[in-house]
Amino acid sequence: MALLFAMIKRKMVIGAMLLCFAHVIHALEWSYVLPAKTSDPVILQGLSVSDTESVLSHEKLQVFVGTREDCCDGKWPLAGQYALSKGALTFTPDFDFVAEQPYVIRSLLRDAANGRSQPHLTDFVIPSARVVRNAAVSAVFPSGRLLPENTLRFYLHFTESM
Amino acid sequence: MNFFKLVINISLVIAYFLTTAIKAHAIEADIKFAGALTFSPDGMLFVGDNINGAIYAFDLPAKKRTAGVNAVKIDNIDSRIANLLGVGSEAIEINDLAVHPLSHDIYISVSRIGNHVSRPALLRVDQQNQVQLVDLSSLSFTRQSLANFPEQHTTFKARGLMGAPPTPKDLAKGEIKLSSLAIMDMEFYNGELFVAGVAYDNFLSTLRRLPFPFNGEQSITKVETYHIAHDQYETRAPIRAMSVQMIGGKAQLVAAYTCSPLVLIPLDKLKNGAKIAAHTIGDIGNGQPVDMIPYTFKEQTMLFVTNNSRSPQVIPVSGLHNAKAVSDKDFARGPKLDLGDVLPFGPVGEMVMFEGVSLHMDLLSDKYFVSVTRDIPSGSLNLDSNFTFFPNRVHNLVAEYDFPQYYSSKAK
Repeated sequence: MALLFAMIKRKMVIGAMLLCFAHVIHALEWSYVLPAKTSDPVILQGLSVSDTESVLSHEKLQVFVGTREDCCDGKWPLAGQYALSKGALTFTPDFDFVAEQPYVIRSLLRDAANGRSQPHLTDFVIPSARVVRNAAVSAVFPSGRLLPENTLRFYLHFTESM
Repeated sequence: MNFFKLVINISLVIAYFLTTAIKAHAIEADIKFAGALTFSPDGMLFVGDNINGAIYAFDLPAKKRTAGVNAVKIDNIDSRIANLLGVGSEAIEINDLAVHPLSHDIYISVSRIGNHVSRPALLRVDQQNQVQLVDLSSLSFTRQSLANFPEQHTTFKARGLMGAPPTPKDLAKGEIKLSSLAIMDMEFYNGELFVAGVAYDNFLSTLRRLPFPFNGEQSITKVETYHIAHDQYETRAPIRAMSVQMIGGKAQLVAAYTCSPLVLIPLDKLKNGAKIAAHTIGDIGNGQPVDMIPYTFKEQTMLFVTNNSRSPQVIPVSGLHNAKAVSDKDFARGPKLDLGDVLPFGPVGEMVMFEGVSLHMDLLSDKYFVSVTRDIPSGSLNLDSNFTFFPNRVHNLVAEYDFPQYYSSKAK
């Protein structure tokens, strides 16, 4: 975690995000392994025997386009294949995930606190492999401290192509 | 003798690898683009691949539906498909639609763009309005490469409106490859697949004739057309929509081009290597035809011709018998505008009301057309069904019948 905070502090946002996605998100007794690459699956692990028996795979784990704020009325889950093995449910979409596209996972799992099944929503975005550098203003012209009152144009120079 | 056997064996191996018709059962189709679709009467789905330059025939056996065929309606069909494919609706393109002749399931071909790559997808909409992605790898298929397929580099020439400088939209059109027109429409007739498009280095409008099952044979005929609205003989712009009909006692292709000449082409003229002149018999008027769907109306065979620039045209096939073929000698020279004296010309039937714009259409049953329609008020893209006898969904308009007073006054 120290590395993660250090990266965020140094604005190495992409690296920090990658670290997040490589990380297993823990919640209750089950957890996700989120995809780090567009070809990776979503894995829901730590399922109890009751979870694996009580609900069909496609109801237990669904992935939608969008974010949790707009999920999931009127939306349809991604088409893909399910595999259940040793308490882990793996969802592999028929088409690779798309980098920079927001997705939300909806899982229907038994809550350890009250024993009832309820939906859980988790967002994820797979960052583009392309390095994205933030643009900054590197120069402003005219560069003097005082400008004529009738200045009609000025120039901004950016560190990145616009 | 052994030497001759060896030569024969080597020849057989070479012939096997060179043949353009490939049959595959277990291997996955290497299809790169799912474009134009059409079915054979027994449920073979033909898919045009404009990138590979090939036609794929997927075997989709089905039992004939004995129950009645229901109207299908799915609003925002593009969003629904995009959801399944894991992208936003702006990242898909619906390329065509065709109805299985036995199950009446609707098949939709799509391009899905993600991670800077376009991939083909085929979706099935069933009678319960359920949309499913078809697993192409599970289907047996055959593949026929197309000879003289256009190269993949030349693009349209960007042009502005009436000589004006091209706008950004015009420039974007100028980046579209001509090979995107290589497989415009397909028609299965009497054991053969007819394919319209451009060929020969993007130069000539062409009709291909492929026997099915594919055996590597194909004939290619160059087609020239006298274009009434443009007042010129055209060899490049391909047929947009077509249907084979019995006219004058023989099988003829009825075809529509952009801006929108209607022509007849006798099938017996379609011979390999020939260059023929289509018989121009009419012109619907300026616009771009999309689909030509034969159906029965009052016991007559009609052609329902959709157009992305005007309302659909309903053409009685009976009116095409004895139609006169015309040339530039039959008109005053010069382009013809819609408000001039000439257009519409010939036995092109009647324009009918259609609410919205149909981007793709097929016959769902004797009773319904099914259409991917751009809705005008909302801009949404909907899959909807339209009665064949009255295909307009008139209730979507605001008319006298929408006023409550209309009914209260009737009740008095």
